[in-house]
Amino acid sequence: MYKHNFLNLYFTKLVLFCFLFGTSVNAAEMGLELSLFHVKGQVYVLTGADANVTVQIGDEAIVFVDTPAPEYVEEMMSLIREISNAPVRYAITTALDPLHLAGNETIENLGFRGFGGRGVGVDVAIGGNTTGVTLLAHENVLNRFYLAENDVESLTLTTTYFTTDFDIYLNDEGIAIYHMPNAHTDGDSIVFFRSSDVISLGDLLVQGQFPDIDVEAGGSVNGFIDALNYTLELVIPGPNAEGGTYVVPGHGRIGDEIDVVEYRNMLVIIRDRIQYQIEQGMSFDQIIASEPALDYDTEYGGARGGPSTTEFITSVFQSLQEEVE
Amino acid sequence: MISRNFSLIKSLSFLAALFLSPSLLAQEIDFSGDWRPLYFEDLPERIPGPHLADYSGMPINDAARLRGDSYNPNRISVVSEYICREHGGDYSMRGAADMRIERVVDPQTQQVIAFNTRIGFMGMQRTIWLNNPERPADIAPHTFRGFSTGSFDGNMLNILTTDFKESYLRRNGLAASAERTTTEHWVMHGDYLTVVTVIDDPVFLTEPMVRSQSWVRDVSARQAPSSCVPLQELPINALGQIVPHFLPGQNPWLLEFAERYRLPYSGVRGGIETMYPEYMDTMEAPVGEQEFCIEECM
Repeated sequence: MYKHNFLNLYFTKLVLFCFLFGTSVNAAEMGLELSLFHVKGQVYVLTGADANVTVQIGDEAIVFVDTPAPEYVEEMMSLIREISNAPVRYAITTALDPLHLAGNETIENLGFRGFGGRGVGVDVAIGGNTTGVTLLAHENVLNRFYLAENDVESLTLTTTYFTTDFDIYLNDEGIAIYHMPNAHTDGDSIVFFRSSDVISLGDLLVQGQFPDIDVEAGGSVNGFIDALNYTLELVIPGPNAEGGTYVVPGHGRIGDEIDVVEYRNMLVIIRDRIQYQIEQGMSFDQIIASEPALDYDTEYGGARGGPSTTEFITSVFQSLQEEVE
Repeated sequence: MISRNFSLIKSLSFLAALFLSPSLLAQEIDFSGDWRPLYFEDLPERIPGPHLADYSGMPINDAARLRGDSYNPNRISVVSEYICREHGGDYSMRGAADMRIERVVDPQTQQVIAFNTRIGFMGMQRTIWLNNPERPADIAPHTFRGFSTGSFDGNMLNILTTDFKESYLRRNGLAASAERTTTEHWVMHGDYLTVVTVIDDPVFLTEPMVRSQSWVRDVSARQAPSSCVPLQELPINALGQIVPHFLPGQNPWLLEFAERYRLPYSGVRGGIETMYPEYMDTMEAPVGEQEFCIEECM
């Protein structure tokens, strides 16, 4: 029941977010300046919105990883159209998080839906929607959404789901989507643009903020560490640990291998401390009072946005407790 | 008569501009060449490396102190991604290796637009831009070397560096954040170069940290090629720590430095409260049994 309440709250946040940003006021009128930053190869990042939006821009297609709020979409597309007139084909959602999929419904109407499997052409034959893009996510994004028992069924979140991993080949580039189970949530995906050598991590990396481990939505501290370790296996650094494969975080500046390493190290060290304290029989209140994240508070603490230090410690504690149970 | 005076004024203005233009003055201060570091300053820290838990003279905050106390030096040999990591642009000037400096000249204007430096350790290269380029966007990746711009104030080159990656203030686990900025002042006296570095780090320092290094020009110095393979050097310990660290209160080396040099423990813990003369009023007795160390102390 608590889980349903939580998810309802989660969904309420999403609806509220869409409502607030779903008005006729566009980004420019709000005084926000969007820009496209070229990361590497065919990959760009839209900056100035509420979260980073990764965009692969090629001659064949436009592919999004996460989408901005609806009022940003028009200006974003005008920036993209300065580079390519290719149709929008995919919007890949990294997690069920309002800041990362609020523009899905708007973007769905921008492009061309790819047909898949044995049902190729059926949509056309039955007069279905042939103008939308494919809104792709791990199946758990859908599951978590409907667990919320919401009553706004018309809201488009995602349209196509995968259960393990997923591959696309567009713009002469392999795009590998990996499911990271039990990290931020249980529906997280990371997206690897293989020729461009860029990985979009969603909220598995947030520069300058503690990780948001949503235990009620299936996230866990150990799953989060596993996801970052998996990312480190994909990343190849340049000389002197500079550059090479770049990673796009959910929020904050673009990073490379060492940014993932420092984030992983922080999580491991704090996890180890809290694990030890639990094994020593310390209560939750005693653990909080011992300030197990003191040395990371000035770098990642809640004053910078994201979870507060207490919320973060709580999520680590809950996650470790759940594993014991 | 009026036109002759005007011509004279124009000529004088041109000469004044010629001799006073900062960009032309910049050309007169040529740091290019090969430089060898002088280690009379802070030698124990720079060559053998600092003791664990020696934070003396560092204006650190509680977060930095706990970061240092948790540091297990095996970390840089177990975390393979650290193996080929270069120093931060500020720490590299501590000079554990020779430095080569080259001028970059605009072929059209013949103005010096940058200095390129190469430090022997990991072959780290850095550019100090003198032509006021735009700083990187907020979204841009940071680097260990940072992004440096310089301008001359008389004979002194002032360098502002931003956009660092996380690195270290001291090689004993004292971290330097990606938010720090540094201001360097380069002054040349004959064949000697003095570099004063001021580090502002809102994450780990409570006030700016200042340190200096000196170099001597050495026409025989040559740079070696750099090659590094990032392989894990030590096995994961019995605790299974993929990131070696000491749990709070379990670092066995915290007293070692103070005991070895018979120092007050609070003094080696760093922080501005231990850095000024008033500290002597509250300084406690030294710890340890060893007599004051006067030779072979390292």
